[in-house]
Amino acid sequence: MSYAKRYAPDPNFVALRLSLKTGLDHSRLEKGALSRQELRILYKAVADLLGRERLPIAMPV
Amino acid sequence: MLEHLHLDRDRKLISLFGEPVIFHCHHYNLFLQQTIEDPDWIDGVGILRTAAQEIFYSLLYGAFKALGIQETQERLAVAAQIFSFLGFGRLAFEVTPSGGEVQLTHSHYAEGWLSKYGDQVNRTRPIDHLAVGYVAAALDATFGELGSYGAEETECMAVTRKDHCVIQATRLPRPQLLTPSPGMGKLIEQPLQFPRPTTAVDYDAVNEALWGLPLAGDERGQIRAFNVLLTRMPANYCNRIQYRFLQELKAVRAELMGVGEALIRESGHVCVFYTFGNIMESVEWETLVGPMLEKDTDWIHGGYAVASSLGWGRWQALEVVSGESCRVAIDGNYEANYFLASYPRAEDPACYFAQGAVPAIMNLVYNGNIQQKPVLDQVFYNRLFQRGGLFHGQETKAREKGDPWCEFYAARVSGTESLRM
Repeated sequence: MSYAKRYAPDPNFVALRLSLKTGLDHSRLEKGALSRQELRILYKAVADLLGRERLPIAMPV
Repeated sequence: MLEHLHLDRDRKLISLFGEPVIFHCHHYNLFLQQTIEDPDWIDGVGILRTAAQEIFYSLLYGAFKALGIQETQERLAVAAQIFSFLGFGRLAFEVTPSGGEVQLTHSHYAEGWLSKYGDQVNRTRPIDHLAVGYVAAALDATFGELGSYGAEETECMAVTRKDHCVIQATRLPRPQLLTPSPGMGKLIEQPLQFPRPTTAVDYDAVNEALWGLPLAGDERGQIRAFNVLLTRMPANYCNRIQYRFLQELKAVRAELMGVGEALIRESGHVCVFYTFGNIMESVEWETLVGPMLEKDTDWIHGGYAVASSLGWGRWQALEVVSGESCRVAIDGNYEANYFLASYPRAEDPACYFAQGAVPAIMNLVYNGNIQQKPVLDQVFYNRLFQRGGLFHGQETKAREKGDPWCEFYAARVSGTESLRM
């Protein structure tokens, strides 16, 4: 989420956008209380938001 | 085309061939579209294209009828002319009754997106969903009936970074069942008389001056004014995409309705912040409204007087408390006109654009210090949210729920509360 807020456009709305993209509750996204599977979904959504295939941060395993 | 615009002075609405048209800038158009495109578990692109095909079919059908145009090439030329007049770019049709290719240059969405996000984001999917729907509508209205054609953007300059986009159109084996526009919608019968606010701003004088500006697409088919890319957007396109999107969201993931609504409100906020901010820093504002600005609250009235000049309905600030709050009535808001013609009575207030737009004027004046003419860029806008004390709006009376008019109240919320839905 920190990466998304730093590099994605409209940083004040990035959590809401990611909530809509991932279907995950936005307060859970903000708190970082996510399962490994949800983290993977979030990673993909952030990459998609920036139009990249991969992000220069580790993909959750 | 300017001569074909119809101005309803009493209701402060503008129409073109029977369709209400409103001014919106690329900040609004892009943010709203992005919100609808974001969840890939909804067919957002389908919502955008279909709505464009339906609404523009109604507009073009009305245009061909009003202008008495029968001939194919003339119909296509008028369709291209209207597209440019509205500020969406330029279309070059190479089509027959079975379909064909259309080249789009100076696309409002693609150029707007490149200027706003192009340095930060690498777009991988085409962006011109409105133009795709428009092309299908133009062929429907020229050769067939609503829903006869389908279209697809095969090259998009927001993706390729070239100077043009390409749209392919084909005649479908069977017309799709689509819904035409409700036109002007459910209009107010008679404008209400609100108490005159205490201000030196003459709303009617501001309206007349702005209505007199010859804002139309230039040789590129763009309306470059007040430092933004403007469009004369068919109001029912905005209405249809926002309400269908929320309906879909409710059906699939009802728990995310609040998120969708908050993002649509933000499209209204960002729109007003940039467009009105730039208007308030313009020579036109200084010349026209400047002499009426005696107190800070007059800046708020000036802002709402501008809002009531853009085809959005009759906006009137009823009360402005300096630095604290404002109460604004909208009589015959374009969102409510559409809603009441398309759905049963609303359970909750549903004028989302206005819910975001009303507090944006307060934020411009009391948080953005627009009187000091700051540089209105992304950095400035982002900082506004980090400072806290933002104004938020609530729709306290809703015509779509049965009240005689819509009313909004904007007041400050504290600290991080400003980011809540």
